[in-house]
Amino acid sequence: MNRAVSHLIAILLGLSPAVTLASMPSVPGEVLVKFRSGVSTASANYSIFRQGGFRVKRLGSSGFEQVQLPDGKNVDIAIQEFLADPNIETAQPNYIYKTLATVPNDTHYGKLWGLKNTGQTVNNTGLGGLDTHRTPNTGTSGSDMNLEAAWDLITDCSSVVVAVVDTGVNFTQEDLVDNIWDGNVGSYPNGGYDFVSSSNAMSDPNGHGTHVAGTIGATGNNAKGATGVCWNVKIMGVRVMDATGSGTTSRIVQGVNFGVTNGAKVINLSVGGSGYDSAFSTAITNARSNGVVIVAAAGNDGANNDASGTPTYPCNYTQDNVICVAALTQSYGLASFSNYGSTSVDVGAPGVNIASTWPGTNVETAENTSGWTGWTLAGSWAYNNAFTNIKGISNPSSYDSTSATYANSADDIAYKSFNISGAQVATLEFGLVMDLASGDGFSVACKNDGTSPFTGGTTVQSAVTGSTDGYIETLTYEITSCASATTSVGYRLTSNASGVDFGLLVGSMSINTLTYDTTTYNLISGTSMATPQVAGLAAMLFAYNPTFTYTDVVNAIKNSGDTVSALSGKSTTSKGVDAYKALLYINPPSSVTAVSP
Amino acid sequence: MNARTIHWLLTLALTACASSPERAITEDGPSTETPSSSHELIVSGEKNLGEDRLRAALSTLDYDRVEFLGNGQFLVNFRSEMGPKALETLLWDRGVSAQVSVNQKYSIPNPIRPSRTKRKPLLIPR
Repeated sequence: MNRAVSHLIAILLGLSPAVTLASMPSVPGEVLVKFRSGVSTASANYSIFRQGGFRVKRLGSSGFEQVQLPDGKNVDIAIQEFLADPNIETAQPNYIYKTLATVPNDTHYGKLWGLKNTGQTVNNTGLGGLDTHRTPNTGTSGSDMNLEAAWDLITDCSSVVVAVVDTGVNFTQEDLVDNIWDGNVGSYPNGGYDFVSSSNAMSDPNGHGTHVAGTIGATGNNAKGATGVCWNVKIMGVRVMDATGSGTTSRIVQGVNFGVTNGAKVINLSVGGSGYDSAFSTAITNARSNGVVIVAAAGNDGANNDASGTPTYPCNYTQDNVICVAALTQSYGLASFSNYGSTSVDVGAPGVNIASTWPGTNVETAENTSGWTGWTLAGSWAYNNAFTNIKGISNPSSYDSTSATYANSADDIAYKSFNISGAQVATLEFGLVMDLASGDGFSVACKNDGTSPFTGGTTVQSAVTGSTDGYIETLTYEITSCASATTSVGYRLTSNASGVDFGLLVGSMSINTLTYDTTTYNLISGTSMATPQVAGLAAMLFAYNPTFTYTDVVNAIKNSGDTVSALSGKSTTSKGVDAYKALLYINPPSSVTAVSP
Repeated sequence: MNARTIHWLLTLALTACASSPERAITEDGPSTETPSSSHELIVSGEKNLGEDRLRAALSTLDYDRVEFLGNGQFLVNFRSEMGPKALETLLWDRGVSAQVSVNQKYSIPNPIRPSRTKRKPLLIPR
């Protein structure tokens, strides 16, 4: 009999659905009996005496008496015999109760509002991560996934493998190291595979995948760091996205297929693209054929995924093993950035200010937001502080995106040296407004000796042309190979002899470095952070009910949650997930028809 | 999005999928018209499609790499652009039933950084 059925019996018996009679502990050698109305004290004493027991005390006005049985007397047998006694109305074990709500002792548990929302203010203090992503919000007590009640039923999901198909996982992180997949150590000694570098050298130069992994399964109750939805689980790290968070169909398909082949029951896909992709869809169908649940992020564009122009895949795939997740705020509103869709997005989960594991220490070196200094500017490059929301350098110097133009036959370079010594990962990010004529080009390069990166340096973006149409495009490139105390980063405009346009404006630039360690945590937001909350719950359901199919798990998650008004008309269920209710969710019988008596 | 933007995105993203696809409903959900061509195509065949059989079917074509992705799926890198529909038809003619699609680009969803410039604020209305 699976646990769902035993819960049904408990409910039919009028008991708390959380536990069954058989599973509740009781005091050995003690029973509680209630005598029928009108039974004399002498008759009652005789009933107890016949069992060889004695009365301990009367339990107030309840009518129950606490009875001590003789040594060696089986409680269940005694109860059957008491129930056969015409003087006795009912008898039961003296159950042992404990305070409900299992609370872990992890140091950052108080920040994990998605698991237990007390209305707390969540911040990055003590986590070690950069404090650049936080949206201050105190939230609403009780707006959470009800994990403490769920943990009364199960905390150990270690029978389930969850594949994190993402930017990698720092498997040495102190709160993940004990929960890393160890199913095929001979072939994959580091708990997964890196399809970006085609090696076992699992790491996470971005951080995104490690954060996702911690939400699913940071070791719980180990007096360290964060707490996963599952306290123990098998995290399979599958790296398919590079340091900048980019990947391709082929890598993702490879990652999904790897997870399925190697026994994952749940695959977390906090990734997105805008086009239907038959190869990706085929991999998801294959996962379904193998009973694997796919949990996908809705996306962070604040857009309607149902609209024909703004779908997000894999969220929008319609296979019934896909659960698409929107992000909820600390007050269970729909996060402003979260995508939604009444036919494509299924449920909501906590996705704002989520604390979790992080692969190491980040340092951000940003150009001064009020204006850049120290650049070597050649040709028509010049500092440009004309706009309120982007300060930087431009070519032409008087760039205003509407009138002045750059020169024909230009080859203009701008570069600056930065000290990023010791960085194990380095990425360059900047905003770009561009209007270039056909045949002209913008390129980006780096070098490790402080001189012009366009002379013997590394090209990180070969020449591109066209227009950003008046928008700032944020671009990110990995520049780890150039990391040194004198890393020069440069921009170049080249033009041919005919045809010019408004030119370039580069601003909002930063270099972000990562040095791996094992003790850092971070607070970030996104539907990517909501998705692993649900992936962890899916693992919990598989662990709690080993006979559950993917359909059972999906149904339990979608049908059991709490109605969230902010999701009404913006999701298929209008529900935020509730772990406790999902565990108690019982699939309705599929082949029973009600008939009139 | 004007033609120049599309051209820029095409170049930058190194994919051939920037055009607005038309949607059609298939058994597994919405489909799109596959982008017209690319150097990198993914062949999704029967689960038991082996690399040798695929390579045999690709003979005479100008490709330099075949990579197994699992589940009967392969990445094929052509030296020049190849249309997925054309390859699908050719494979069918050579006895391999498969869907062919372009190797598209994905990203982790845009990071939420309220303290920083958002991804695409309009700088100057045009």
